[in-house]
Amino acid sequence: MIILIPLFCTLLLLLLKLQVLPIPIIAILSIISILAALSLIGYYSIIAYKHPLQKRISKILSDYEKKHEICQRYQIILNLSGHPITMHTPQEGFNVRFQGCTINGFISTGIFYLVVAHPTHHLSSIANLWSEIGKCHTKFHDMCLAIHPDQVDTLNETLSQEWLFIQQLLHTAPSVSLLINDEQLSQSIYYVKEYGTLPKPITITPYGNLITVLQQANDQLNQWIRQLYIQRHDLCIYPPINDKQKTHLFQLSHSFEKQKTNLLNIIAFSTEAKIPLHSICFGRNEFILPKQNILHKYKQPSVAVLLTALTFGVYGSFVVIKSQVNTTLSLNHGSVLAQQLYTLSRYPQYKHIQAKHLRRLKSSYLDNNPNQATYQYLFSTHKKSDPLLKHDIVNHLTEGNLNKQLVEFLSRHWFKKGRTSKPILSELAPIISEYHIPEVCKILEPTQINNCIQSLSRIKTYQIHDQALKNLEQTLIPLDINNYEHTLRQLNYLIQNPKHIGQGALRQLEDIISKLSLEGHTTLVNKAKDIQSIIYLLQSSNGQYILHKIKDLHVLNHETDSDEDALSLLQKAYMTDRHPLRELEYIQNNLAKYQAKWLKDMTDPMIHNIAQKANGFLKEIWNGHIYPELNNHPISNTDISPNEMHYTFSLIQTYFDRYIRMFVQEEEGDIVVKPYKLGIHIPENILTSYIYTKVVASGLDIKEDHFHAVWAVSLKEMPHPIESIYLHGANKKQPLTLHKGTVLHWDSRYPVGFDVVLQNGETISIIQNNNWSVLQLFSQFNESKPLCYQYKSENQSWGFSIEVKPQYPINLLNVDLIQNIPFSAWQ
Amino acid sequence: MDTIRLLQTLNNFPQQDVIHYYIISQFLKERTYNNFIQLIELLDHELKHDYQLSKEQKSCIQYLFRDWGHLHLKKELKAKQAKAIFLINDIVQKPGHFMEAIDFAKRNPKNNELLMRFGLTLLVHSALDKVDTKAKIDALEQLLTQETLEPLITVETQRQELKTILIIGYNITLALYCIWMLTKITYPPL
Repeated sequence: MIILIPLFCTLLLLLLKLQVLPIPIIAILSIISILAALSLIGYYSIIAYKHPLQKRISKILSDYEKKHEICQRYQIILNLSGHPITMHTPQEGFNVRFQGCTINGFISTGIFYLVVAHPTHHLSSIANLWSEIGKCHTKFHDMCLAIHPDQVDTLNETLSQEWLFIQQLLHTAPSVSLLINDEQLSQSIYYVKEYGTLPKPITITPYGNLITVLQQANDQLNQWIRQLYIQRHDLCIYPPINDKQKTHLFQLSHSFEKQKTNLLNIIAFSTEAKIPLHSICFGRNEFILPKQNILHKYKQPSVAVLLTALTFGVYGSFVVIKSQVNTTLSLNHGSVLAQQLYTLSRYPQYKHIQAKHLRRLKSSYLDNNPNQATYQYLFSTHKKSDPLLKHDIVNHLTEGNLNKQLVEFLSRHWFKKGRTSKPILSELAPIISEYHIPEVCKILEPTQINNCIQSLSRIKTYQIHDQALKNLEQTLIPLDINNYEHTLRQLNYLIQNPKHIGQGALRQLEDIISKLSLEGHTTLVNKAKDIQSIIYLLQSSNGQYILHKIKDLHVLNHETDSDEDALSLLQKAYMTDRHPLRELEYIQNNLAKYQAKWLKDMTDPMIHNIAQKANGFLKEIWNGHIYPELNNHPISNTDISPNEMHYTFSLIQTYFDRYIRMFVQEEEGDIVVKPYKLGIHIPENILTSYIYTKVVASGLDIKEDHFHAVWAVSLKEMPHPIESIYLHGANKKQPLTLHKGTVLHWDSRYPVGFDVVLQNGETISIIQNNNWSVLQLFSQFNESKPLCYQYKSENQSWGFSIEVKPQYPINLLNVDLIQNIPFSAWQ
Repeated sequence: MDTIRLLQTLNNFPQQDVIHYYIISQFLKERTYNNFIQLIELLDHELKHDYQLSKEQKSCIQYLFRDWGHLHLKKELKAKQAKAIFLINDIVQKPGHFMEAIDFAKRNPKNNELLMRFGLTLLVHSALDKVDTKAKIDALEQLLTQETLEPLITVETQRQELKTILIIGYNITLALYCIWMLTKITYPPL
């Protein structure tokens, strides 16, 4: 039953969880099953109640229980010993016969015994009787097999062959004991018990490890033999017994020793045949019953394993459901999560998960909140404060997105006592309403409540009116870039009816000014007056002009569909002074400070929108087309062909001329973005790339198939042992003369260098021949001072100095200039 | 074979005592001349290999058993058979001195404990009249110290019990936890 109930429950739960069948059908099936089970139990109970054997059993039990205590154990004894089993203690019972079998029922020492015997051990009669006993529905806790000592040595064979039915009965019994009984043994055991010390009965662990069980039984049997051996004299001297009985008592120890092997064989047989043999008793008055039957049941590993597996199964289901709940909660946030957590509060088993996600929800609201510290203070110090204040704070944090029920639920869980530093009043003021100021001050400054209330109220008033002024300022003209038509109609209306601008706002401003003047909020009064001045400006003719320009900007912004359009629009704005964008900027620069700021705030979103598109387009062209090409043809590589160099330079030049030139201007030899506040942003690295290419191009003629450059070379020094020096360039060899200039035409198609003739007639050539031969030639020279180069032979035995002046202001001979052109992506 | 098994089981008792118990028990079981002769041979053989007892003590034991048996089989024995029984160390002894032999054993109780125990067993199961033997039995009982047996400490059994109790405890706890959890398993309608 212990196993069946959880199994039944688990099955029901699985059916419910998996939703295999509808819930009403599961309920009906459950009820039908329970009713059927109850009917069957009732039917068999009536049969059992009317059974004659049951009537006799009930009668002696009721008679006994009237006089004594309730019988708690029932034992059935199958007596195959051939000798009657009676108790020495007085017994009340009955004797009946059934098909030659004798049935003797009696109660002794609070235990009901039913002794079943057949004089010739006729098994079919015993089987029929057993079936009748089964109908009585009397639950016997133990079964005892009584045999004669002479049957001990052959019991295993008999049970396996002739008494198979008995073996089956033993196998199904909850607990089995073996009684070895005959008249003389019973008498001897009685004398041992009365005149000596009777050893403890032999107890066996059913289903235990065979070797352990045999060891235990062997130890106990040895104990029996030794105890009887010790008492061999006393038992024979004191009891009033005849010689025959005396001899039997004397030989008892020896007899047990002889039976020991047979008994161990029986134990081994029962262990292997899974018979729950619990004890072996000798003599009729030596019954031993297991103290706790449940002990032996639990010794069966299958029961323990099944129960453990079942438990873990249920635990696993619990864990799976719990993790599913956790996952569901993890996927949500905000009001949805708050609603789920509220639902979860009806299930206390998920309290831990609920608390975890409540913390997560709180953190999600607090993390991005600038007043996080203030909220933390309020959550940690208002444990016992007014619930409405708590609701107010939660409402403020969640921006009023939650219903009353959820706010109440969160305010119950989020407020926990803790320690945090006191918040700044200006941060605290927006969170709490004016109504709760005294309550908060009571907690915040208990000693200076009045001061606190005064300060907090003043800050609150300031913040409320400041916010009101901001709202007024922002709504003076209805500018909504996402609602083109409506905004256009409104602007047209305001242009046609300037006096209608800010009529309501002016009244509100008057009220605010009068109220704040009394309370001494000078800053806010000035701010209100500034807003008034904006309204007056807009109502004037200048205001009409401004509104016209704002309308133009609105239209332009709306008509700018693509990024390219935005770029084109801004190019025009940067080029033309009369462009609406430039005019607005001009107006802005000439307005009073506060009015200019207002106008900027109004127009910035539209200008920013256009500029963002234009900047994006410029970036896309550079990063998508120009920069990859520059990477494919790196100028820093001195193997670059003139053709590639030409291509790269023209690419940058074209990009600059087409897209960038309108936005930049030259300033002290540098190129900078024009100082208009129209949002165009060109990264420094892009401008630098252009400047570098310009510089390189200015020092070099890039022809289609070669590079060309011209220098004036003048020999400054020609010490011993140099005889003469010849200059190679553009397929021409010219002698160099001291302090006299010679023109070097560098053509990258021809070798360039020097022939040095020594006085011993030896000629040494210092010549290079590749695309960038001139750079590689001069990399072998030391630049001792600007434009002066010195050459030294490898062994330092000779050298010469020359002065090299370029044709253009840029000295190309600086290799770094070319190698370090800073091409990089538009960031 | 029987002797060896009995000796193994009663290994914490003096070997001579166990053999004496065995031969007396075997004789009481089958009181025949042939069995008696066999048991006498067994006793003599054991005594031959005993180096603790003196010659007199050995002779006393031999005589006690022979005269005790003779008293049981007196009616059935022929003169020749009786003579064969009483041949001890190639000397034929005279029957009827059972009580004197008991007295010999009692004379020096400290050294003759084995003899006294043997004598007591024989006296208890003697064919003599109980009135004659009672005084001797009482005297011997007083002189003999009680044999004791240390209780069998079944450590292994205790361990098994402990293991079972632990398993049951574990399972009951798990079962209770399981039932508790069954009441808790609900999936909230999130």
